[in-house]
Amino acid sequence: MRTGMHEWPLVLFSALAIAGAGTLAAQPALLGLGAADPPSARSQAAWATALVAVGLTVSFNHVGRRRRLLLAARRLGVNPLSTEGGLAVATLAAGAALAWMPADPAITGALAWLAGAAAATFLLAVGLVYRLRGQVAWPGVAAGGPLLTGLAFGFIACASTTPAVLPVTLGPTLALLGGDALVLCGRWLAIARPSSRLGALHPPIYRRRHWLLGARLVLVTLAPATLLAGGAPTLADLSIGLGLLVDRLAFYGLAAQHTTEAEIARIEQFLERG
Amino acid sequence: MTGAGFMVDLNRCVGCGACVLACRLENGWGSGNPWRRVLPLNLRRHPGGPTYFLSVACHHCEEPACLKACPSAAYEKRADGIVVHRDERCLGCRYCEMACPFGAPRFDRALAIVTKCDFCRDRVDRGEPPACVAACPTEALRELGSALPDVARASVPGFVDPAGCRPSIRFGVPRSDRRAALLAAAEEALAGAGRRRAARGDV
Repeated sequence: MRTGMHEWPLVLFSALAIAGAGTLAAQPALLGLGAADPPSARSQAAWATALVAVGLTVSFNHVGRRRRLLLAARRLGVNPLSTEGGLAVATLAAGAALAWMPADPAITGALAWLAGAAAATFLLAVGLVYRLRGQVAWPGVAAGGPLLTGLAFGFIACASTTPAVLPVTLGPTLALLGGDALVLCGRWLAIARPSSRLGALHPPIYRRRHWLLGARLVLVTLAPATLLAGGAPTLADLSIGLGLLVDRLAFYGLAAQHTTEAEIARIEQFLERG
Repeated sequence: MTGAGFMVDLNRCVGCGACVLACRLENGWGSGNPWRRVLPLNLRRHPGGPTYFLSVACHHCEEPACLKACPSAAYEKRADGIVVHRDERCLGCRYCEMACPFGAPRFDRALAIVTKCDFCRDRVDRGEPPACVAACPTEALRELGSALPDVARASVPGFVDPAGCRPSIRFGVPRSDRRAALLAAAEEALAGAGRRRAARGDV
């Protein structure tokens, strides 16, 4: 990490938020497929809401002046970061409502759709926050990553708690994992040699980028897919959970920002080579 | 070209660092988050090539990435072009640090907010030039006001605008016949600084 402790809360926040919001976003589809019933949807929503709440608390704690956080509400819908924060709170509220409202199937179904929509929009916002043109390692293709990874986590979590639904969820889960792997490949290609386009400050961990991204591919995609196909959803859940942490570590750890200093260093390198 | 900005004449800058010192004395920033830096390019390492110094701070861009990124509207662009950071509105989220491709906003751990060059707005309001401009002994650093001719956006190695911010900075590009004199002046300045440090017992 380049700037000390700054990114660690973001790693934790985004990993927990992707897991929690992904589980919530998956609920309408799982109910529609018959892979979940209202009681299990409410139970999963409780866990998911707790994950989002912990993540949000960690995220708020990394802000220098927390008492001023309400100032960000004025730029909701205009500013990507404000919008992300607002959607996180909306996801939290909708998830809590789904988890703790009366267990009427009609109400649960409606709330599952509401929470799912809020969570899916929030996950899109998480991806869009990092579309910054000065950042050479966060290309646009990564924007859809959190939504795909989160949904895959939600489907696997459902199969983990109720293994009987695995035959129903296996196909959609593999499709989500495949889409997620494609997004990862786009990121991988883009950050493989960013310095060829712009001078950018690379953190020391950049040297191990292929190992890090490879570990991410194994933990989030290959291992869960194999384990699900082999009928071991609990292990698949553990793997993708660990993979989420690696994914966020790679995302922030490999961030490479263009700066004038880095551009000059690039020119010096060219001069050095003659 | 109208509005606040800097003109750096690379033919004149000898890399003495007076602008950095004056900025620090005027604004009181800590060593960890400099508002102005002097970046040497090819300093005595590749004698065949040109040597010059880029004195850079916030460029008070026409399309500031920091202003767009800030979730709490802590940045404002004044009518005269100065991009002002309103400390009392800053959350300390550091998103502007991620967005600015020039490394201008810097997080101050003691204050728990981001700070940056404000073009010495109090001095400017009094009709004085920014402290860095006033301190430059060779007049390499100047204000780029509406009174100055609209210098072409020179392409200087080491300076690019990857985010389309349209920075309000212009450069006087070094001429080849001045390189040797510049290099000698820079070395003399650096040797002088070295002698002063040695006299103080710093080295």
